Amino acid sequence: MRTGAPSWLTRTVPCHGGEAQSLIMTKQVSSPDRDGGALTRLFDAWVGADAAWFVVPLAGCAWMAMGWDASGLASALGSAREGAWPLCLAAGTDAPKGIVPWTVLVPWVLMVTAMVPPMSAGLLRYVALRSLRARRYRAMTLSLGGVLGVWLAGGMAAAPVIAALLAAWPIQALCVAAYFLAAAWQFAPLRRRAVRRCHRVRPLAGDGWAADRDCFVLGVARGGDCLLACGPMMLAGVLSGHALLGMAVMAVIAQAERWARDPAPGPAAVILACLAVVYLPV
Amino acid sequence: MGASTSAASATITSVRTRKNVKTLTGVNDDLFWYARAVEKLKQDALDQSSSWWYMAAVHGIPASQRQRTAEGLQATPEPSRQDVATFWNQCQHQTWYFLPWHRGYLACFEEVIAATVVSLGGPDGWALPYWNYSDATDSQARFLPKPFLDKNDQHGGINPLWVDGRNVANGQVELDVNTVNLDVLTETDYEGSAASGDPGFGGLSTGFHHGDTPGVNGGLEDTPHNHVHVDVGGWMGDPDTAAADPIFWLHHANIDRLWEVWVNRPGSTGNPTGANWRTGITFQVHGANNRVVSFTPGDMLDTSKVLHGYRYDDISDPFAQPAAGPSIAAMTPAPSPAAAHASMVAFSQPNIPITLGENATPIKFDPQAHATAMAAVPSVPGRPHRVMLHVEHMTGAGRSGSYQVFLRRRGETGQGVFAGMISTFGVAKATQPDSHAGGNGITSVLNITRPIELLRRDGWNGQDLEVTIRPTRSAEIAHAHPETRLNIGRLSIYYS
Repeated sequence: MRTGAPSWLTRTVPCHGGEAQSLIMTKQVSSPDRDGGALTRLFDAWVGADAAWFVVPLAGCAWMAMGWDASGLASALGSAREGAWPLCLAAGTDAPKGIVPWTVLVPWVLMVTAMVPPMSAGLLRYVALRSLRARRYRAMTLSLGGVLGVWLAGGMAAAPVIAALLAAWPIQALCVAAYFLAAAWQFAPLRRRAVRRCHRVRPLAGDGWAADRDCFVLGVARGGDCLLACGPMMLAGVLSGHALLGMAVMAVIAQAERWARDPAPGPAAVILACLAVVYLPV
Repeated sequence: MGASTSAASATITSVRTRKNVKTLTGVNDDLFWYARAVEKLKQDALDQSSSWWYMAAVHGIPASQRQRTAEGLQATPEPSRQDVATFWNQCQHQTWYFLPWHRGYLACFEEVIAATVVSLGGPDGWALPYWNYSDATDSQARFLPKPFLDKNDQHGGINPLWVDGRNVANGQVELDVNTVNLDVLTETDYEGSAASGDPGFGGLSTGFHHGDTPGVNGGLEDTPHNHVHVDVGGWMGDPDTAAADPIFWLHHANIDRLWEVWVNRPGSTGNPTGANWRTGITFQVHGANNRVVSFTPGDMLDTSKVLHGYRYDDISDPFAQPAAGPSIAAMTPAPSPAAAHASMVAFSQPNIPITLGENATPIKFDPQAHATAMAAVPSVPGRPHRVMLHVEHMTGAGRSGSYQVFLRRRGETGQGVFAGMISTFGVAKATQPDSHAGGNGITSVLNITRPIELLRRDGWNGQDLEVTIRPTRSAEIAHAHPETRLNIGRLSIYYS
C-alpha cells in the first residue's frame, strides 16, 4: 500500500467535513472554457451530453430529402429526367426504360447519408476524444470521410449493375429478390464477422500526417465492414425507392444489432423477408 | 431452465453475516462447510446448474472442450445451447455493471452453497466469507489464507480449496503491496466519464456491448480487483477460469464489501440513480434447486434484501482510522469526473510491445494543448486539476500479469517516480474479436496527479517525459509461458 508523500508536498484543506491533506488541488474547475472557440464549446456540450448531435442534422437532412424524393425530389435533382423509377414503385408501376447509373447513385447517396453517420457516431466520438483538442473536428471529418467514401465507392460500383438489372427485369421482382437476399445474408458467417468488426477501433497517432492517416484508415476499415454487413440491405432499400417505412425498419435493425453482444440473425431475417413479401405481386 | 424468481426479497426476517476468513478457524464454521460443499459440488456434472463447474462457467469458460481439458476443468457434458447462450459467460467487466452483476452472482452462489451445506448435515444460514487483503492491522493479510494453500487436508486427502498452478513462491501466495491499495475508495462518483477520462469508482456507462471503445476498467475493478486475480494466478488469472478457484468467491465477497464501504463512506455520492443503470438491464443466474434468479442492478442496492439477505461484519472506513496509515491521496477528495472535461496533452507513438525488462516509452507533449489545458485551471496557475495516464488498447494473449508504471525525465537512467500498476487480467479475452470488448482490448487509467507534481518539484520541465513499464513477479511468471504477449496501443496523458 502506498504510504504517502513527503509533508512538504501537502497542505491541509477542509475535506469531507474534517481535515485532510491535498497535494495541489484545492478548488473544483467551475467553468471549463478551454480555448473559447464556439466549436469547442459546442463539442464540450456534445461530450457532456453524451449525444452525437453532429450526425443528427446531417442524417436528418438526408431523411427529409428521402421523404421529399418520394414526392418529387428525384425530379428536382434532375436524376429523374431519365425516369423517376423510385416513384414508380410507390405508384405500383414498373420502372421506365432509360435508367442510367446516375439515377441509381443519387438515391444511394441519400440513403447512405441518412443511415451511415448515425451508425458512425461512436467511431466519431472515439477519434475525437483520442485526438488533441485542436484536431478533433479534423479527426472526425477524416474518419467520417473514410466511412462514406467506402460507401460511395460501393455505390459507384453497384450502380451500373443495378441500372442494367432495372433495364432487364421488372423492378418489383428485383425488389422482392433484394429483400430476400438481404434476409439470407443475415446468416452469412462473413456478415456476422463484419458486424462484430464494426466495433473495432485502433490506437491513433497523436499528430501530423500519421494522425490524419490513422483517422482516415480507421474510417475506411469501418466503412468496409459496414458495407459488408449492410450492403445488401441498402441495395434493397434503393430498389424499393427508399420507402421511408422500410428504411426506418432497416435503420432499427442495423442499430439494434450494433448494440447486441452477439446479435441473432433470425429476427432481422424474418423482418426483411416480411418486407420482401410486401413487394410480392398480388 | 427452472422456475424463475426475482433476486430482490421484500421480506427478510434475518440476514446472514459474511465474516472475515481470517477470523474463521475451519472447525465446524463457514469455512469448514465451504470446503465440504465445494468437494461435493465438484463431483457434479457440468450440465447441472448447481455444479461447481457450471457456476464457474456462468462467469466464463473456455470455448472449446480441448481448452477446458488443458486447463484442468470439467469439459463435458454441456447443457443445452439455449442455456449456454443465456447463462454462461456473463461476467461483466469494463462496465458499470461490474459490481451489481457480481453481487447477484455471489448471492446465487451463496444460496447454492448454503443449500448444499444443509444437505450435508450442516447448519442453516451459511454465509460466504471474505478475504480482506487490505487489512492494515493484519501483517498476514496479503497472503492467501492457509486453508486454501495446502494441497492435502488434515486427513491426507486432496484439499478441495486447493488449486494447482497458483503463483506460489516460498510456500506462499503473496499479493504485491500495491495490489491491495484502497485509494479508489476516495473516488466521489460511481460513474466514470469517457469525456474526462476518469473511470470513476464503478466504471463507465456501457450497454451490454461496449461499443466503439476499448473497455475501460472501473476504479475498484482495476485495483484491487484485477491485480488480486493476477497475483494469485492460475485459474484466477483468466476470466474464463477464475471462478473455478474457490478463493475467487472470497475475493469477490471482499470487492462486494468494499462497494458497501464506499457507499457508506463520507464523500461518496452513492450509486447511480438513472434508470439506464438501475433497470436498464436484467441478468439471470441460477440459484439453489435449479431456480432461475432474475435481477437488475437496482435490485442489488440493499444487501439485506438481495435474495436471502446478508451483511458484512465490518464495513468501516479504512481511512477513518489514523492508525491504518492512509496514503495522502486516499485523504484527498477526488473531484467529480463528470465535472471536468479532459484534454489530451501528450501521447506516445502507437503500438508498444511489452517485454520482460524495462519498457521505456517517450511521451510527446503538444505545446498548444498543454497551454490550453493550463489556461483552463485559473485557480492553480501552471498546474492541471487532475492528470490521468491512459494505457490504451492493451491487447495480448497467454497468461496475465501486473506491471509497475514509472515516470521519469527523458534521458534519465534512474527508476523514476512510481505512477501505479496496470494489470492484464482479461486482456487476452478482450483481444478476441467476438468478445464483449470486440477485440479492442482494455484501457487502464492511472491517476498520476501526484507523481507529476513530484516530478515538477524535482525540476522536471513539463515536456520531456518517459514512461517505463516493468513487470512484477506475476508478469515474469506469465512471460515464462511462450504464448504470452502484451501490446499497448498507446500511452496518452489527459489534463483536466
